[in-house]
Amino acid sequence: MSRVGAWLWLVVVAATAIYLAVRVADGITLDSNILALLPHAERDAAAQSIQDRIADSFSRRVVFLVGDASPAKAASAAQALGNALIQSGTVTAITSKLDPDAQRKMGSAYFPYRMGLLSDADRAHLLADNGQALVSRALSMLYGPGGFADGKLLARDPFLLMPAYFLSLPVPQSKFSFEDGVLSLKENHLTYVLVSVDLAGNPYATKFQAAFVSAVEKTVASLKAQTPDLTVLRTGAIFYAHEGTEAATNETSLIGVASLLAILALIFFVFRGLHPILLGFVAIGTGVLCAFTGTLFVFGQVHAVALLLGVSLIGISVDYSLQYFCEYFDETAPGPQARIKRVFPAIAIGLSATLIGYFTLLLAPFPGLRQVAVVSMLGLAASFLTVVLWYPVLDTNRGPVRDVRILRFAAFHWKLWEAPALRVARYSIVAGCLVCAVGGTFLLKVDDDVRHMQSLSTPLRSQEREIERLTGSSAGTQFILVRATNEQGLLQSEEKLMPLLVRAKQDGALDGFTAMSQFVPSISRQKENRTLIQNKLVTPHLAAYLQQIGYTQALNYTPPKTFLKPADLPRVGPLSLLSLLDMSSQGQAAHVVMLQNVKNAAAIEALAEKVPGTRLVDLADDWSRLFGEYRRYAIAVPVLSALLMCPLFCWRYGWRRGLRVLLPPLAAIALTPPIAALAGVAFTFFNAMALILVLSVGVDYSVFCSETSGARKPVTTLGIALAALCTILSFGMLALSSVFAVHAFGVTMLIGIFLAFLFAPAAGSGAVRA
Amino acid sequence: MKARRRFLWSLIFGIAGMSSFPFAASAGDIATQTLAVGQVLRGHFMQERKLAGFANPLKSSGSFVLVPGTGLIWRGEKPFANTTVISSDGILQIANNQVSLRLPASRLPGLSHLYVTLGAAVSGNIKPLQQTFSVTQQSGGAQWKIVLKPLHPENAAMSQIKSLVLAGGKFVDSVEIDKGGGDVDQITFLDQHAGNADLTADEKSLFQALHK
Repeated sequence: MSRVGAWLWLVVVAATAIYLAVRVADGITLDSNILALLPHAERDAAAQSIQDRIADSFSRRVVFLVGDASPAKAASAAQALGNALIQSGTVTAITSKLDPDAQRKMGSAYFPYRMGLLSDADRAHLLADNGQALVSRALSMLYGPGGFADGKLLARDPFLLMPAYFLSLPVPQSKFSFEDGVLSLKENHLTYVLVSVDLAGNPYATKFQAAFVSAVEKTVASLKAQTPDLTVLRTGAIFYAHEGTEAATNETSLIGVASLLAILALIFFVFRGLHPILLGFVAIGTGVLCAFTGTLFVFGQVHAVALLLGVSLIGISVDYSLQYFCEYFDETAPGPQARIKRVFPAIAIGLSATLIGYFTLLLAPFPGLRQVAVVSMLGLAASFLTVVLWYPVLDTNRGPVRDVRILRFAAFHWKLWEAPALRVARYSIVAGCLVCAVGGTFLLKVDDDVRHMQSLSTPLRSQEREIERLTGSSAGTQFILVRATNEQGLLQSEEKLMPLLVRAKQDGALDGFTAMSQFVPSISRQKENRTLIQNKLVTPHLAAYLQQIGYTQALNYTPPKTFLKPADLPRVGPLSLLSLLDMSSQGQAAHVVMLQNVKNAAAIEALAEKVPGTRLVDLADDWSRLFGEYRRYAIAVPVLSALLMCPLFCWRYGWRRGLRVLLPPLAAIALTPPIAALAGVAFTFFNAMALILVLSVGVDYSVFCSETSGARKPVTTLGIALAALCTILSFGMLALSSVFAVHAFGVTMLIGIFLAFLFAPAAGSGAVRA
Repeated sequence: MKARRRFLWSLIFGIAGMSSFPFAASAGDIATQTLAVGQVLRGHFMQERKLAGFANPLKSSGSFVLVPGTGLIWRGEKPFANTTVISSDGILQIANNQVSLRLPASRLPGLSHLYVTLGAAVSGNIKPLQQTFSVTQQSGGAQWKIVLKPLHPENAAMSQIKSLVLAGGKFVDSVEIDKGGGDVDQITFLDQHAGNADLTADEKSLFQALHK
């Protein structure tokens, strides 16, 4: 409280400001992926890394449909869009662009191995010893309209097995057809051309988002200027993430500014002066400055949600200022030094308890929550230091405020919990809260579904649905993970899986699937096929067939000694999706089987269990399970915090009163979820996290009430009333946020803080500290 | 090896050969429409396919039904029974009462482009063909002959075709497709008649089978 302390603190704050300025000049990355707030599951590290890679490749894919009545205009607009995006440097590959050489490259990769490649139907014919069916097909192809075979092809592939195998390859996006080198589909006189791109950067990095989205907007605007009727549909994680960041950033400034203004207006109204406003601003400002900068320093970047919470800290750190300013109403403390001495014990104990509460967040295995914890702890500590060290210096000798009306109002809050005459009112309030809570218990719903947690923008969502409808495929999060000791083992497992999936598709359990083994049979399958072709086709039918068509030249169809392996296939054209299917990493062979529109997950799960090494994985379900686990963990955190605070309170107040200080905030966190349920709010991980803050803030109020006595009681309740009002103002606005997590957090804070404030005087009622 | 490309493109140009016959209906004015929408053209064909490496041409004969706006049914009767159905949905081949080949339009690049050309040609519009081919009329009068040559032979889609020669009177009577390297298809059409006759149930079911 000395001048030295004030100067030292000034040096620290100045250094912090300089550091922040340097970081801002370098550019700050604001992370907006809600999943980044969560830890990576340790359970199955290999499966997790595969899932991460799949999630990553999903999130990097962006799909546009460029539609126009004129196919030519649609195609040229699509091409212009693709070129512009490539030029912007935000996109690495355009998969929809047809490599003119793709077919040739595919052909030359497959052709040497043709005598071991059989489509499912051809294989079934040969297994049934029906080689004649293949002969008939070859004859139809030779004699039919538009003969495709020439002598050269016939010499090397007499039964034309290669074209048949080619046609059996699964090609995604079956509603599309290749027209003039682009993938397009037609509906209602509109031709839609597909532009599918892979992002060059992290779709969750704000800078990259801005660069990509502005490149898209600019290009689309100029295309629409040329072709006014052009329709451009888009979907991709980056658009959602960008909107999320935009919303979070806009909300941050809106909520920040609005809550700051509301708080300042409140202070002005109560204290009738500008001085507390300026001092309050200094405490809030240093708190936010230190919290933001410290978090940047520790984590290297700040998550959007953590930033939102950080800005909302204004509502909490102002508690200390308010305790100080409310001393203006105490005539027995005429000067700044006396005032700070009066409030120091209360705010020091309050800070300690709050730091303990936030400390437990640091123990949580969530990277994002650690950020929130660091933001909160730093911000509070900095504001505390500002109040304690700077206020006595900056606060010029002002006389006490003598407005008894406000004090009388505040005094009523205390009386509510103390006056014998108000016993009925007191019990009615408690009973009312209990009835609400009991009623709400029946409505209390736990929701861990991650799909509900990323609030999706409606226009983007409807564009995504339109694209799903037009293309007939959706970006599913479900797939079968196949693991084995080596690649051939994977292909063999998939070959066991295929007939089961075919049946499941016929039964309507899913719309389709894509597996590596559909593009490359295992070596053992290729050996089998070669034998089948030799024994069931060549030996019994070749001579007669050649005689029938009058072919007299020498044949050359002997298969090579080697077999086709996945690595032999070029990743071009339709084969470019093979790199999505191969998830092998060092020492770990793994493939995924992509599933389209799974309608009966249980059936797929059951069939995967029949083949060793395969299992159904659902990215969204996995995340939801994680959210569930950590929600349960988050409920344990307040209990742990309370236990950790116990020694502090018992040391300060003794056993019984120490526990009594904890009672109001504990009651608040117990009653909040069921009461929120009455308002239709489901209980999620984020609500659980808010309860931790309710406990910490609520403990502050209890401590303030516990540290006060006699005539100072109204001064204290005025302080916590203002504090609760400020907190509710800032967090009440969070409930308006469109970011699901922030909204859930805000609603819980709104109810919880009000209850904690309401019950707070019960912690100190009637008790006089020795 | 360009097995697949050859396969697809030659299929298309086989059809392209077919598609050209209804438009060139009357001598002197190949853009005159004789086949109205709703009319069906029926007839017989004889196809002689000369292929390098074969001692003799592959000869086949049978009947066809052309339905403007719907598609084509090509029934080979000799040397063996097989049916090919072509529409905007794709291509279907049936041999021995079994589907031996099903090629949906999505697997067949250019099919719908072909349909635009074909549809336009049926209604007497030669322009779409002129975008792809140079059209030379070699004789006029009651019997006419035109030669189509790809405008852009370097185009992959055109690499399969050297020239198309169409000849006829009221209808197209013959088509010759030169695929280069000695591979030539010669198709002669006989007994052609256009009428309003409805498709038989069998023919309808063939288009239906392809639509599925």
